[in-house]
Amino acid sequence: MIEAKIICSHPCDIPDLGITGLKRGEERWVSVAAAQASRDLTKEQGKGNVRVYRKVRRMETAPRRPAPPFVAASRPPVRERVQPETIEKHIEVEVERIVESSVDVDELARKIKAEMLGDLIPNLKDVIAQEVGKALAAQKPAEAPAPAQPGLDASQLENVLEGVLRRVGVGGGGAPGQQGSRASGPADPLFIPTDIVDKAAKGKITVKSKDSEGTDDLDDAQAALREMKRARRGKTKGNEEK
Amino acid sequence: MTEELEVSTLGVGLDMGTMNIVAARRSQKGVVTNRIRDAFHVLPRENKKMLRLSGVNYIEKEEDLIVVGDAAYDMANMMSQEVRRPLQSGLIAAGEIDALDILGVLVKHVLGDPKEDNEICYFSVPAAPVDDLSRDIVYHRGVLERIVTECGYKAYPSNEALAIIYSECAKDAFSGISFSFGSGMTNVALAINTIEGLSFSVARGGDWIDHGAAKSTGSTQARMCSLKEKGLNLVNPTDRDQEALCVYYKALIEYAIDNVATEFKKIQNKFSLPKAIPIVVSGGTSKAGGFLEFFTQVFNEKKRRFPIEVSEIRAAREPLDAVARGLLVQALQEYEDE
Repeated sequence: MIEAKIICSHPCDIPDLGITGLKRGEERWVSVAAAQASRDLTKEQGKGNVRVYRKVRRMETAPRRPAPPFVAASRPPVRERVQPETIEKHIEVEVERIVESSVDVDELARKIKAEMLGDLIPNLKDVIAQEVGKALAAQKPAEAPAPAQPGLDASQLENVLEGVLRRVGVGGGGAPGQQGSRASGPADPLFIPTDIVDKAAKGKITVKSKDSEGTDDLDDAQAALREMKRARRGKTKGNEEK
Repeated sequence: MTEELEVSTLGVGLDMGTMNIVAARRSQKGVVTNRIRDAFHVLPRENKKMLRLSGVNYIEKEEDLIVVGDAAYDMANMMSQEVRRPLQSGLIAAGEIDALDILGVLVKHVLGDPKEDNEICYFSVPAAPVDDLSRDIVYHRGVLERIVTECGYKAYPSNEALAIIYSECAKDAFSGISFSFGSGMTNVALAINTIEGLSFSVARGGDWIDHGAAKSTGSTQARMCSLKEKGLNLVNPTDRDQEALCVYYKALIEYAIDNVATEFKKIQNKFSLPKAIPIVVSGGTSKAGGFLEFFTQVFNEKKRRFPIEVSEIRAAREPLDAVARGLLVQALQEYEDE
């Protein structure tokens, strides 16, 4: 059925259609004949307070047909009496189903993932926060442009990532001139007890002592090191002269 | 105490191993090394007389007597108990409450008194294991530094495997790959002209071999260790136990070589090797009969995929002392630079 759809674009009243207090964005449906006969609507339409369209209402908003009259049906014959236990079980199963369906599976998966990650790499969040904090703190005011950028640039992000990886102990091997990535590690505060060596310890300890004759290997090593250092010094000097 | 031998030069090298603690000093005649087994066994005070008579090493601690060194091994075996060790898998044993006290006493006796205040002492630290990310060396290094300092020395930490290059590769301009097959772990370093290009460790060593072989044959780890030390020929095993040991030796060598290849590939683009370099094998685990031949056989099987050109494979002259000697070279050098 084609009807007239009135859409309010400015608050107004259409008294001859019985519409008052129409607010912006509000919609009203009236019959096409009533709309055509309404002077107030024409007036408001002229002012630009309302827009009128001819449309067919969608099912949700369309007037529904009245439901058919209720007719009570007779009960089916009881063949077997249902045991109370079974009913309880049914109820329990239903309750379980309801509980199951109320859980947000995605949320649960996220939580488990976070917990597993937490177990694998403890304090990961803290480590990341600290590394990002360090990087932000390291941003010198002179380096930052006048309106300070809140983020980190690519090299800073790389440093943060390296810092996090180093602290959570990921990665092995080592770059040239460096020991394994965790070997030197960050200068974390460590508690190392004092007075480990008990100078007053009583007892009797003999160590196995061996005197190998000849210092050729030591002398060779020292001579080779001396030579190497001399060569390096010469190279540096040569480079400086150039 | 230690037999007193006249020492002519200042500087000490100290190798802190899981099985042995070794200190090296230069004397007028040559090099003096002091060694003690890194193990202890606790006995009740009633045994004091027996210990004094038998002449074993012990210290008194509160209500207990602590037998240290080789005697601790013998006593633990005699009583069918496990010997206790201050270091485990190359690092300070986390669960051993007496570890630090014992280490302090052992280091003090192996080093002896310094010849002057703050005499330079280079001590060994392993590299962080690449296959056990839960372990780092920060605490281990800190504790050893404290112990050496408390003994009156100026302590300098240095990489264990790199020390082997200092002691064994002078003629190669301190370039090479060194394998330190220790008891707790295996350390590896690659250096060119003393510059360390790569260093890492794997958490497998002699103990891992003993454990694996014992498990396979239904024997004990202590028995396997003693079999190894009594004389095992890796190239010609004679019984089932020795064969089991050979299998685990091979697995360890393969594992170490594979890890060198893997770790080197990570730095290949940043590090250039101008010429072929030697491989030097050292450490207590490499003292087994036929080790060098066995290592070479295993290496040759893997040679095609090994990313580094190797000029030769050789064993350290003194596998137990090589690290301490390398550290001594560094200590002597420190005095020369001064």
